[in-house]
Amino acid sequence: MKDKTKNIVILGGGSAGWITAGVIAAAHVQKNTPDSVTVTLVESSNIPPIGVGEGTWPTMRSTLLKMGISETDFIRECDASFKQGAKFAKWVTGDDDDFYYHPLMLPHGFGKTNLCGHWQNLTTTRSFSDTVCFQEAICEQNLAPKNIRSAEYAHVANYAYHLDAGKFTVFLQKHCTETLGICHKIADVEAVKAAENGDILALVTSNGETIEGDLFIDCSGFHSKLIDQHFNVPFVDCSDVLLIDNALAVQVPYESEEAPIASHTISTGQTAGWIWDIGLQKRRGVGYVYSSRHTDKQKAEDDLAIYVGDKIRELSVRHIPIKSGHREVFWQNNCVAVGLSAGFLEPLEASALVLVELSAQMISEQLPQNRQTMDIVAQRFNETFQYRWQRIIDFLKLHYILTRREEPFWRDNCDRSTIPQSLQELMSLWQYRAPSDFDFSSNNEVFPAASYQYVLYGMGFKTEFQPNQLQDRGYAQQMFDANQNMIQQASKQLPTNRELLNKIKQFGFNKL
Amino acid sequence: MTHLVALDPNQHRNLIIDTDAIEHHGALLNLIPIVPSEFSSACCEFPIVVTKNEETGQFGFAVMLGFEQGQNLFWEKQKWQGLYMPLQLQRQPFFIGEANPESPNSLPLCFDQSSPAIADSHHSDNCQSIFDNDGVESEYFQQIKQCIAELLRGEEQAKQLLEFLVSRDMLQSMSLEVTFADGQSKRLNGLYTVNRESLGTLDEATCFELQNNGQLEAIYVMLASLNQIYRLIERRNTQMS
Repeated sequence: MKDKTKNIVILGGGSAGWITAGVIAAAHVQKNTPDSVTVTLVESSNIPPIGVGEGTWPTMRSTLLKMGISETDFIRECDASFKQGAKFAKWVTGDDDDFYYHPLMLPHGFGKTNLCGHWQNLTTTRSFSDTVCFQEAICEQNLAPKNIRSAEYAHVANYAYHLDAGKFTVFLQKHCTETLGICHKIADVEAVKAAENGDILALVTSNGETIEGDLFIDCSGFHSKLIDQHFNVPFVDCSDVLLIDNALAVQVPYESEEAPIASHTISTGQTAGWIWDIGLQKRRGVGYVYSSRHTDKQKAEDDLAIYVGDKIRELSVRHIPIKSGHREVFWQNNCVAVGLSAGFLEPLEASALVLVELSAQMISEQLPQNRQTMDIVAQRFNETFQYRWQRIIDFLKLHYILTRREEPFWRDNCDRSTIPQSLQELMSLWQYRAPSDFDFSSNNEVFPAASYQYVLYGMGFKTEFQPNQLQDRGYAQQMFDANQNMIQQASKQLPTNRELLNKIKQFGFNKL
Repeated sequence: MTHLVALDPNQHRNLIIDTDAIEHHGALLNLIPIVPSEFSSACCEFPIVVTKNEETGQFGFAVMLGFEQGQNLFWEKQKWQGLYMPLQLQRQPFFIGEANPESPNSLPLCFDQSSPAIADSHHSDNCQSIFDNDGVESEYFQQIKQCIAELLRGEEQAKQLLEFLVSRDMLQSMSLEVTFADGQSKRLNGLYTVNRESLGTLDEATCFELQNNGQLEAIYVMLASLNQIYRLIERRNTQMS
């Protein structure tokens, strides 16, 4: 075959670089085979970034499994903890009792019936998610999603992780180089050697080495060294929709070694943004993402200090600017951008790492056999991810537009001019019926209709259901009862998050 | 409620055990842990399975006595109906406590003070003293200590065998759905056994080693014992009819 895709070069050794390297190598690198695909990862320094504390999606479990990683090792070495969804506090009224959940499990009986209308007709004050899913109740009790007898990656309740991104990078690097046969080079890339058609032929490092490749993956973070600096692919700014543009991050130690570890991300609405609170094993990762158009850094620091408490005076707060947006295309010539180089929106709903996983998966599964077919794959990749970024932007924006908070940040978010047309159309439809799978029928959906239901009805949205949508009431009641039953069972059987994490350190999970 | 204390030859010199009552400890157990040296005796009556410890999630061997928690089909008329009694029952109410950090090599012998087998007096022929009048250990107590020593050795063998099976990915979960004569059916979860096909993939040297240390026999005995599940179903049908 002519111009066979043989050597893959990844630039950047953050979590995006190593996840992409690992996923591709696990599927394509055959050790001790001369014709095998090779994966080389180049990074300028071997110093891992400081881990802010990051949330993943449940997809991370299959990503790790595919790379051949033991869940026990991962949890022990990445300070990881279990995440069963997100609790949104003070996003609607800002009052102390204002909260709703976006759990990681579908409503009970989802696919057989749509429970939204039946729930809305109930005369109870029970929240939507608590009525249709047992996960809110176990999160409120800080319970783990499984027990020590569960096999690796198996679940009682669906789960993702909270992890220390710095430790995760070190962990992946070790696995990728020692087990998956990835070549790791530490060098500054000073120049790009290009062909006439613009294709990258090689990266030239400061010590004079030339690293040739057939496919280059830009995981260089916000530097976007290849997709921006070499190819000048334009950046699509999304700050007109998503108003967050700054973050303050801090690592907060637990009060004691017995303090509960929340098994969900806690997102708390603030005057000009929201605060994330992520429980790792050894500490919490806390941060305030805010809009500099609606507050200033000093005021944001004060608000963060109120949330964290007095101990913040002994902790170091990092300031991170956020430029919300993404590349116009992600795959240009023989180069594809994955991770922050492709774009970043904001930390809400942990969309950063899942986009890395989805990108790595598509590159790996559709890996073009040669240069001739690469442009076809590139176009499909671009269409897929343009769609995905749009859906994520819509879904993130949904969290902001049903608020009744009065501060300018929240009012501006509700201004129609900031709401994408596609989301406005969905909101019109949902006045008369609940979100359903028909609203999200592409093969490339990121969030299922259930996620929209959780946010919509969690925030108090009212749909005018028609009588014909409420026919299977008996079945719906069965589902509600079954869910109550599951809450009781799970509350009895599951250990606390901290208990389980301690047992994993001591005994570990079995593989089956 | 169990009440555990370390055995003290002075304080507990007059301790009497009613050996008839020992088996009450197994009345409500549907699984009782066993060790490989017991397999050949146990296999004649019970299915031998691999289960996970509730507290640690680690694998162990057990005989299966019932189909749900609290159900021991070998417990009838307030008596143990099996011919063989697992060491875990025989050793009751004694067990090994946690080692003292100051002397990690000597393990304290403890007993369960709330055990139904603790007797006030020699009210039957089956009551046994632990110490005689001079404070010397009785023959019965010597037997108990041997039993516990065999358990400790056996647990080490079990650990080695299970580590080997896990390292070779030779365990598989048993998905079992049984239907009883009365029409009720039950899905059994949390039971594991050796994948028979995986035995065929072992190289000669490994087979030879397993043969020599008796583990190959233990594996085959365990696999053969699984047919006892049919007898267990029979017992369930008879008892519930």
